[in-house]
Amino acid sequence: MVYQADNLLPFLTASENIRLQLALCGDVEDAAARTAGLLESLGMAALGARLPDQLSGGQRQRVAVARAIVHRPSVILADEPTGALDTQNAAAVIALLRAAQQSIGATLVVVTHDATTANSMARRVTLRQGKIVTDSEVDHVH
Amino acid sequence: MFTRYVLADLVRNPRRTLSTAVGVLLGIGLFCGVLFFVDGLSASMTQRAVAPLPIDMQRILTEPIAADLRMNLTVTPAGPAKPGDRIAVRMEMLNQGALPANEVTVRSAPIAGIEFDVGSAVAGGRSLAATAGNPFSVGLTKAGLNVGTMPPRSALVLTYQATVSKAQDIGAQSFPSAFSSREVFYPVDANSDEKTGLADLLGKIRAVDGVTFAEPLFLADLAPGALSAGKAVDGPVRVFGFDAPYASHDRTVEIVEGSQRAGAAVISAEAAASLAVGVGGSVAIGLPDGSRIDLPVSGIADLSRARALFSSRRGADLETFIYVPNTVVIDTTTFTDMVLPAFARATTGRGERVKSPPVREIDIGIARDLLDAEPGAALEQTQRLARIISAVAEKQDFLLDNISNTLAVARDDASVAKHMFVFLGVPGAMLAAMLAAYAGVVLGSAQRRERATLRIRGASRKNLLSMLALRVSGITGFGALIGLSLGYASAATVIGHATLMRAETVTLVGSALLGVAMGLLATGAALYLSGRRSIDQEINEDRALLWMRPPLWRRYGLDFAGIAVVAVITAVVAARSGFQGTPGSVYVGRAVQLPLGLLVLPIGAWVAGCFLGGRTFALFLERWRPAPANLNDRPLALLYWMSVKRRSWSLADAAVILALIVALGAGLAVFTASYDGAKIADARYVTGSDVRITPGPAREPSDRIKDTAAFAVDGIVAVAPVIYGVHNMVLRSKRTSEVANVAALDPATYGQVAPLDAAAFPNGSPAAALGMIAGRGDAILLSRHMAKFLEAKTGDRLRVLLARGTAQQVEIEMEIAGLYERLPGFPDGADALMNIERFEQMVPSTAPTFFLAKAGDGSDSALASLTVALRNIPALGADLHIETRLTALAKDQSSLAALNIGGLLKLDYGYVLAMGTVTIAIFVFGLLLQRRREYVTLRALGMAPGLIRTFIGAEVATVVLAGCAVGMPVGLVMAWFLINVLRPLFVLAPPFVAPFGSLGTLVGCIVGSALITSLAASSLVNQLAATELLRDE
Repeated sequence: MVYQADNLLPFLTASENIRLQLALCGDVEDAAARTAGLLESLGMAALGARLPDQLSGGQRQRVAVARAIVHRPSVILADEPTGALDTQNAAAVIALLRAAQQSIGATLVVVTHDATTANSMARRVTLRQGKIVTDSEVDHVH
Repeated sequence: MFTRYVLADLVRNPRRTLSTAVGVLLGIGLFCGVLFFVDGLSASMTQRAVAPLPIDMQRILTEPIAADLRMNLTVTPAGPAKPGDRIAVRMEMLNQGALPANEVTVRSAPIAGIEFDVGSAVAGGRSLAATAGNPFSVGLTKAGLNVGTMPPRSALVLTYQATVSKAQDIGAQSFPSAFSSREVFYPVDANSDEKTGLADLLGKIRAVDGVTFAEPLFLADLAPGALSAGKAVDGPVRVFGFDAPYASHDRTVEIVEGSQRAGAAVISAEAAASLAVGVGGSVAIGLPDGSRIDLPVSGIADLSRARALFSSRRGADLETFIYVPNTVVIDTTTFTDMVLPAFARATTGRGERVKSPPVREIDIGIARDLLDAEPGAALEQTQRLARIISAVAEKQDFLLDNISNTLAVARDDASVAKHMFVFLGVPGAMLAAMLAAYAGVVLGSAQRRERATLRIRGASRKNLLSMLALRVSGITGFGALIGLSLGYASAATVIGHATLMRAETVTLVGSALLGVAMGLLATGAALYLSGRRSIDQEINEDRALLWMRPPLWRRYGLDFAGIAVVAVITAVVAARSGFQGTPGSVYVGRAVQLPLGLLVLPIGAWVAGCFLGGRTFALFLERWRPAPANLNDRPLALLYWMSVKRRSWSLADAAVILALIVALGAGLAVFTASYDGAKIADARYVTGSDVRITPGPAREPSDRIKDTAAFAVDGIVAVAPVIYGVHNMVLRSKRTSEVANVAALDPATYGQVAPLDAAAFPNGSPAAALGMIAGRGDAILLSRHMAKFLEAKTGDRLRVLLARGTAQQVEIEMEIAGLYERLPGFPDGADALMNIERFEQMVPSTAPTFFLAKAGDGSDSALASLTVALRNIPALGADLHIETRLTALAKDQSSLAALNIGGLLKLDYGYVLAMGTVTIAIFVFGLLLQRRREYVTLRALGMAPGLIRTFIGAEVATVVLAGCAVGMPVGLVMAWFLINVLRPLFVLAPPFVAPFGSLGTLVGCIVGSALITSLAASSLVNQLAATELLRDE
């Protein structure tokens, strides 16, 4: 799960927040290396020892995405993952989610009010007052 | 609008509101409870103080029993005078009585501005010119002129002249003059009014509003053997004159057989035994002029506890209980018609001198139920009444105001008690304020998000502070209402509703207002300030540092400063013996003087010690590196260690509050136990052992109990016989002599039964001292006070007169074998201690005065059973007067030691337990409020509910452990200070008692509360849905 708020545990560092997910899943093999690699791939290798309050909003959300994918889930649910971010950070987070989805082969479900984010998805379902209004698939996503 | 928002917030978040309000209501409850407690206790102090007093006031009559003397003084010319004017003074002495007046002495001297004309004095027509200066006022003592004996119905004129040196009005008052004689002990002023007769005086005093009774009492000491019935009694005799109504007002006058009636005598049981005479027999009373009264015996009385009858009226030993076993009581008419004239004749007989003239007094009782409950106000009432009674026949006689003297001590005791109680209540109130502040911090942090939302919507700092003030007002107002009720209920529970209701309504209302105001101020300020700090921190956007920022006291090292100040003050006070106060006693008219200012020491040690402990705990957590290699792979370990390490101050805050509670609870528990132990030890010390058995006056000489085997009942393990009497011996050293109280006892058994205090034997152990008199018949132990008076030391020899004033008195030589400060069992003070065997050799007829018995089981119930068993001894038990340590404290009721300090401590302790429970609850539910999102996140991440429960439990356990580990030692230190500051309340040094039961209860309450609240919190966490994270922030 990825939420609109990062929901990181404030007393754990970025690295520990990610490793906690692995520990909770019992997937502790090479946990340190996998966490470090993931942080590096997010461009946050130097920030792994920082507490959430010492990170920017975008950095925190990237850590939250890393926590959501580190244990290679088959489905990634993202609820307004860019709602609290500026355009640049929002694009970076969506790109990260897409990359993760492709790398681990998971299904990515994103709930968003942002058309740009929606347009980047392979299938778009529009809901209005709880009912499906449109359901369309595109061949090429941006 | 703000009000509606705040109200909605308070009502819709009941858990949050109640958690905060609990601190407030406990604070106000404690404040009010302590004040109500003091009110209730003060309200019962008057009645407790006066309860042991048999007679409230005594009007001592000074009218001479013999000689009807009067002096008429005239001056010529009277009126305005200028320097150089000569004044003639004429004094006419009249003996209007039928008996001669002996050694009549006339005193007279002019006041300043008038000079005596030397050589002008004339007495009975004879010039006194040969006398240098004023013969009516000679030397520094202003001794008068002794004109010798004045025959019955005679007159003597004395004159002198004086010259005015400073202009003034001249009158009789310009020449203060008085006379006295062998028969007239108290000087009588010239031109004094005629004395009001006894009957008139009685009538006028009885008519005073507030006087319930006024009865005459006469007493006279007669020569040894003055009471006889065929044979004479041995020793001095006292004759009392009072009527049946007097005896009905004094419950210590017990007529054990027959009754009192006019024209007959009631004799003491000792006299009856000595004379072998009973009701229906007759006795003869030998009077000092050689005459005799023969009276039938109508009753036998036990007067051995009649304090009002035997309390000394002499200035040298005023109020000392000096019992005279051979006593006879007659009616006042017989006393007036027969005894007083006999004394008058003896007094006026040429060459005769009566050392102890009869005492005549009117004993007065006042309406005690009308006295104010508070001793100070009651004292004003009794003093007002005393002034009214003194004004009846003013300047004639004097008044002994026993009840005012007693109330003066009680008033001072009450004042000390109030100060002490407020001090003892202060830690609880401080704790309540700190608890409120802690609740404010925890809940202020939980409201952070709401305040952020308000700020986004445009709320300024001023708006937020206004809302905070409204919230604090709402919570404290609610807390005040409940707290006031709680305070009343708790005080009523501890001291009883009836006791509490003795206090004036105005006093209770005043205390309620004061308690609510102080409680609101302390807890409201604590809540507001902590909330404001939270708002300011957020506005300053230092959220990232919020949980890392240490509190104020840590930043400025106030804990170190506090410890240093306490240590320095303690060292200075100890070096100057500042912990020593002055013990109080109603018998010596002295209130307890406590160094109450030093109560800041336990409070200082308590606060500073707990804060220092909190600092140490936080540093320990921060620097603790358990770090097993695979910590990151174990989610629970990772969460726990990182949480406690990186949020150490959050835990330390809770641990400090808990430590304060545990320390106060432990301190109060230890002090209460030590206080109770000291009271028991003191009571046992005063009694002399577990049980003190005083045989009633024996009716027959053969009934005298000499054998301790008479008390062989189950439960008694040892009995020591003691012979004791006030002023029953004379000690004579090489320098001086003194009448003294000797105790003769069996050293071996006394050593077994009496709680001997090693500190009271400066020259060696108690066993060694007793061993000295056990091994040597001529050895005597002396009190240090008596040795100092006699200027004698260990090894000196003394002449000792035993059985003073009896036919059996005998003088022996003894050697001082050692000194002591005080002995258990002799509250009047034993001046000397000797072997009973030696005493009985020298005075064979003496039987033990009392017996001290040690019980196998010293518990209250065992002593009560023992008392019953002793009373059931056939043909003996009914006449025994049995005292135990349970009855000992009642004798000194107005002393502060008899106050219900234990009740106050229980009140405090109850609140401490409640606060401990509440603190844990606030901490746990505060965690839930602050970390709700964390727990939901953990659930969303897949953490099992059991692990979350363990995580919460582990943090709570850490706080509980730290709080107890810090609080317990601090509490012991606090108790040590309390015991030392309140040391003057006790005779013996109080023991330091650790009550493991109470301490266990305290820890058990906190641990139990931690368990219950942790489980409740876990249950709430389990009800949280992970979808909460989907809510918009």
